Amino acid sequence: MSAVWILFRKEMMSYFYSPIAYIIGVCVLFLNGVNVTQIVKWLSQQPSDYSVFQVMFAGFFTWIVFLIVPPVLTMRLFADEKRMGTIESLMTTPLRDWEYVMAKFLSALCLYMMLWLPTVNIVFVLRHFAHDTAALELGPLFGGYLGVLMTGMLFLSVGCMASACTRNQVVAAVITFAINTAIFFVGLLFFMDAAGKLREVFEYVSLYGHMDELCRGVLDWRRPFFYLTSAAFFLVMTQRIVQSRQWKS
Amino acid sequence: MIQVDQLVKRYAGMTALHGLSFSVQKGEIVGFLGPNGAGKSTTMRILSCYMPPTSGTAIVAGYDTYKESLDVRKRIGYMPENVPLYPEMRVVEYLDFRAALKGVPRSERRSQIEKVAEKCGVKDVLRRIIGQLSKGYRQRVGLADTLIHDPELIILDEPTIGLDPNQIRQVRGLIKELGKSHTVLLSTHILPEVEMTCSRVIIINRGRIVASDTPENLKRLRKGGGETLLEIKAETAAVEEEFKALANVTQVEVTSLPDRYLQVVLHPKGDADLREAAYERVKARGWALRELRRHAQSLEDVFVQITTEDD
Repeated sequence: MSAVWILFRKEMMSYFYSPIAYIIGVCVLFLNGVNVTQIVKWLSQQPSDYSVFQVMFAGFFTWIVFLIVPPVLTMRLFADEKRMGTIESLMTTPLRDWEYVMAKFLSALCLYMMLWLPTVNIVFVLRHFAHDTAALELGPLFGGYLGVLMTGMLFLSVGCMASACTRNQVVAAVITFAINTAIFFVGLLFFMDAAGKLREVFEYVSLYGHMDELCRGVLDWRRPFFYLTSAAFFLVMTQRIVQSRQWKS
Repeated sequence: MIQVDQLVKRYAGMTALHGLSFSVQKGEIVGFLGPNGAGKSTTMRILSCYMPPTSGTAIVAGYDTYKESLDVRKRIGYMPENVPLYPEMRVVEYLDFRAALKGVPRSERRSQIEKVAEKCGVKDVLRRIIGQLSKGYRQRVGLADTLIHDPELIILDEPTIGLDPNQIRQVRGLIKELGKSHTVLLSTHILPEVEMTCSRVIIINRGRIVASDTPENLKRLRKGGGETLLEIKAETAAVEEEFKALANVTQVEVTSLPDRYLQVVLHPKGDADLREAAYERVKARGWALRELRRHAQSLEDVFVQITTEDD
């Protein structure tokens, strides 16, 4: 059995042994519920420029979930090992640094995706009651979930890095929230009057833009590429930080 | 089993180890002794591949701890100071997790857990949550974890710290037991522990080895010592005169005790045992004698002397 799988299993177990998974699960369900109520209310009142999925995956409440959940899921991962000293017994077993980082990251990502699972329901409910299911096509739906997955990868990898930097969970959560919010708002700058090259740059890092387009069912390969490379970057940073104890002086 | 050569470790602003060299043979139980901050934990962390030395090499079980760390880690069981554990897990879950991590095949894990649980006395708490265990049990869970993959070398950092005397005794017995089939390196600053469990002692102070020998030989190291102590009822002047005349006596100290007895300390020349001669004198003079003994050398004396010498 690979070390990643062994540690992954242990991490998942720890999530469900602590109240964190349940608390955050309830919060996400609540926010999603509010979100759907809004969708239904809004769409039944007037014709809208936005599609259902645009509201569902890129609406105000969704972004709250995107920004709040990753810090909570990742703050414990590395900081707690250092605080309790278990990192010492962990890293003196035949476990490679990258396996350590990947197992932790994947467990956070897995729980994060589990939190989104109940939203599948919402789609079916909407489809059931809609007169015209044209607005609820599967393409944009998959696009939306792909966006959820990739946004999660990026934000959680930032969380891993922050958690590896400190032994204090609160510090880790605050750093994660700050960096993620910064990334999000930098992306929003393209709505401002930037022109030419600058606008292209902002557009490229605009999480809102990416999400919006994915929810319209448009898949441009530059978007997954952006998410994957940036998540990989933060994970490599995490691995470097973990490895720094092995630096000679 | 362990071959350490010119180990140096520098932290920002301080040097923890100044060129440590020693070796440990297969099957030995070696005690690592030193005051707090002497570099014991640092050395053990280097040997267990948690961190690298600034310079120098450490070879464990034939592999370099820095360059072939995975090979080393497969062959050692390391228990860090204060025994860090995951409080939310059950003991059996923790041991299973650790066994898997250390590469114990799935089919053997169950029997292996039972074996070490039996050995370390945690069989009754296997289903309990670690966070609710007493310190003594946690320590034993930590020990069980170090043994779970049957390592060639066991490294224990302060295995008995924070335990009550009964528990210390149990752990000590366990370590002795382990010494029969494994090589053990343990650190401590509790001296009787070393005397009772270790076949060899390495005393380090401020990052340097100051002594390395069997506990018996180390005791002989102490300069002077071997004084003979008597308590007799007599006149001070007569006593001094009588004992100064003895062969091999370099110095006589006499103090009067509250109940008219005198305490006499005879310092011998070299290793000489003065007890018999002293008794003959007392008998000849007809003094009342209520105590006669030779001051036993304890490792503690040696330790204090060696580690405070260059202050």
